Amino acid sequence: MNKFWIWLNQLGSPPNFWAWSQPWLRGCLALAFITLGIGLYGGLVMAPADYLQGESFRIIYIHVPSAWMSLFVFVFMAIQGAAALIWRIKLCEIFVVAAAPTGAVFTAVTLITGMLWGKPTWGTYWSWDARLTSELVLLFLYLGIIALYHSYSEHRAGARAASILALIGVVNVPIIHYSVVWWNTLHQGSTISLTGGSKMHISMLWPLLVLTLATKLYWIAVLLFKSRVLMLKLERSKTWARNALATNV
Amino acid sequence: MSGHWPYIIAAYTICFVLFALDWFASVIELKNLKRDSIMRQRRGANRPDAGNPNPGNTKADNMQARNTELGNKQAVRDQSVNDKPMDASQ
Repeated sequence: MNKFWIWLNQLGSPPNFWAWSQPWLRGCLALAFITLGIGLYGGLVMAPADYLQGESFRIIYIHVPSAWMSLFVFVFMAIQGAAALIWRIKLCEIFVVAAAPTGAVFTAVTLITGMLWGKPTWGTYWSWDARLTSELVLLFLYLGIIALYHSYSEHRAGARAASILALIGVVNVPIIHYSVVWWNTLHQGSTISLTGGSKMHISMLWPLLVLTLATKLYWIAVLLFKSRVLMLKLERSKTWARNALATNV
Repeated sequence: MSGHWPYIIAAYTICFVLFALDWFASVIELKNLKRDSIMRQRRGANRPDAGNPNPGNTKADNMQARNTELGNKQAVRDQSVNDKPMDASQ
C-alpha cells in the first residue's frame, strides 16, 4: 500500500479528520469570501451591460456557478455513496449526508435566479422545458435524499439508503447537461464549454470564473463544517468528541 | 434597462439568504451539541462510570448486589406466603 492510501485510510478515522479539516475549513472560507468580493465587484460593477439583455444578464454571475455546483455536488455524492456502499467507509457516508442540504440550496438558487432572469428576458418566470424541469427533478432528488436519511433512526442505515438514492439519481445529471442539445428548449445552449471555448467576451467572462471558484471554495468549507458537526453528533460519547466539544470548536 | 435591477437585487438577496440559512443551520446544531455536552457533564453523564448505580463498583460487584437484592425480595415474598393464615377449609 503506498503512502497516499495509508494517509487516506488514516484520514477516514474521525479524530484524524477532525484535526485535519480545521485549517482547511478556515482557509477555504477566507478564500471564498475574498474571491466572492472580487467576483461580485467584477460582475456587478466592472462588466459592461449586455447589448441584447441589458443589465439583467448580471444574474448569470450567481445563476451559472450555482447550476454547475448543483450538478457537481450530486456527482460528488454519488461517488461518495458508491465508496460508502462498497468499502463501508464512515467518512464517505458522512459526506453523502452532509453534502445534500448545500446541494439542495445550490439547486434552489439556480431555479429561483433562473426564474428572476427569465421574467425580463423571456417574459415568463417558468416554462416546462427540458432544462428547467430536469433541474426541478434534481431539487426533488436532493430533498428525497435528505428525507430518506432522516426517516431512519440509525445513522448508518439512513446513510446507506441515501447513498443508493444518490447513485440512482445521478442519471439525471447528464440529462440536465444535455437537455439543451437533445431537445428544443426555451433555455439557451451552453455559453461556456471546456472543449469549445467561450462565446462571452473576456470582460464579462472573468468575474464568472472568479465566482465559480468562490462557490467551489464556499462549498468545500460548508461540506467540512457540516461533516465535522455530524461527526461530533455521531461520536459524542467518545473521549475525543467530548474534548472537542469542551474546547472552542 | 434600469427596470432590471429589482430582479438582480432580488436574485442576489435570495441567494445570500439561502446560503446563510444553510450555514447557520449547522452553527445552531453545533451550539445545541455543545449545550447538550455541558448538561451531560453537569449531570455526570460523561464520567467513565456513567450509568453505574454504584460508582466505584465493578460490574461483578453490581451484579452480586443486584442478585442479593433479588434474593432478599424473594425471601420476603416466600416469608409472606408462609405467614399467611391457612384457610379453614384446607
